[in-house]
Amino acid sequence: MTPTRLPGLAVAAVVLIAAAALTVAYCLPLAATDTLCRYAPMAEAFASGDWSEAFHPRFAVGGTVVAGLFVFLPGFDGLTACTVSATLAWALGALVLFRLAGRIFDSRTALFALLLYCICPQPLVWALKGLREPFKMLGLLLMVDAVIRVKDRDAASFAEACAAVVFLCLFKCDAILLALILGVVYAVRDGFRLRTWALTAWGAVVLQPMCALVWHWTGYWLPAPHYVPLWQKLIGG
Amino acid sequence: MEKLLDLFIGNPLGLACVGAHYLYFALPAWIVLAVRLSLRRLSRLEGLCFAIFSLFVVLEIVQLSVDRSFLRRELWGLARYFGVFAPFLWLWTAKAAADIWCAPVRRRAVRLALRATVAAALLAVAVFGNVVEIARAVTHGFGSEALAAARNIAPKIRADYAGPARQKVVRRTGGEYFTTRRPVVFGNFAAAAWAVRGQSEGAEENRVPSLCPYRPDYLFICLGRKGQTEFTVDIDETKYDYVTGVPGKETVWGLFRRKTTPHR
Repeated sequence: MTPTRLPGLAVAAVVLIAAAALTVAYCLPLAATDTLCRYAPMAEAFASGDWSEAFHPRFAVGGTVVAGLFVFLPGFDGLTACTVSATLAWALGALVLFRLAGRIFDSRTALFALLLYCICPQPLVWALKGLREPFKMLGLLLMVDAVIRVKDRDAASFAEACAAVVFLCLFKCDAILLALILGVVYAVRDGFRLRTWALTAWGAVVLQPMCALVWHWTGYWLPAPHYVPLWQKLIGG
Repeated sequence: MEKLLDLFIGNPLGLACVGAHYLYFALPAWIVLAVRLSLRRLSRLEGLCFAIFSLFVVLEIVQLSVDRSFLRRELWGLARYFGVFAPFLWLWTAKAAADIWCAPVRRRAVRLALRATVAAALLAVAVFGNVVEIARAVTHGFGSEALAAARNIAPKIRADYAGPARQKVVRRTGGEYFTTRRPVVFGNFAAAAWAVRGQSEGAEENRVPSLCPYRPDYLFICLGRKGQTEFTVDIDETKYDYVTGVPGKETVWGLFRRKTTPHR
């Protein structure tokens, strides 16, 4: 396994494509219904401090918070904030995929993987529409990369796993289970050393804001309301 | 029985649809995987990555099958769930492209032909894929005409709408949530709701609370082209009142308010 350094060319290419795509998105708004009617108004509500409007049981808090910050700090409208934040996640995902392909194969394959990611219409269109899928994709790529390099036992790989947990647990509810399973794979490859338990503790901390909101909405301390019916079925209450 | 149908017919059909969506990327990957497996050249890291990819797909099917929504979701919805795993499969597509690009061929002409084939394939995917996808998104996802008209009417709706202060009790999960203070606006395009900063979603029978579990407060519908003398709109007049007409750039739009919508 030879870690591939990110050549400046790859970074420049991704930044250039993201900038060009954002320009296109500004001229030809592509927003999906979900963004227009949910995420964008929720981001604006978060920025204005109206938290009861900003959070909703159907959606994890991460997208609202990140897009809300883009509304609050640079002063974008909700739609632009969703598009910019999702495109940023898309661009970061491209770079992580590049590294991942470099670790598994070689730098030549990594460049082609980066190219494929950039030219595939779906992920970029999701980003330009301000959807949350690029965040989930970024989380999965980061976590798989962290699982693969866990034996390097360096601080960077642990930080990568921690970042992946945030993206997986706070952006899409259906990614929480994926994070759990990837956490088990990480633990097995790590041999249940201290870093595994530290990552578990970090995951538990990251889930708490969503648990608190779900408790407020439903009376159950669960990481997503989607699990409530299942909980009621299995445990009762 | 319904669960069995979901599991054995619905899910494979859905997966086939999603696979088709990415066929031009996925097919080379499957071929490379099959060849490397048969030649026993799959490295441990490759095996791990492929196992994780397979696990993702299985887990997503399980999650979508728990609320039996797999069959109900349309291709667009399924693609959003499964498409996020696709980059892991593209690793082998990239491997194929890299191997062809650097194939150890002695004759320069053959080597150039192979490279030209890879470049042409990538260019074709980049151009046609993106152009078609973006054109589809522009024509279906938004409507500049609808947005222009909705921006004209938005202040009026905001001034007109008087409630409710909160949406109460969601019985399946208990508790309260407070996100339906915005008016529910239905129109030909979701852009109408965005201009009002309202919501636009139908009542759902999901197990999680819907954003708008009741009838739209306002309907904002394209009546026809400017200059047209008569308009025919299929609106239930017992439930909705006509409020006003709104001119767009080339079309005329009508605003209808539900009789029970609290207004000023």
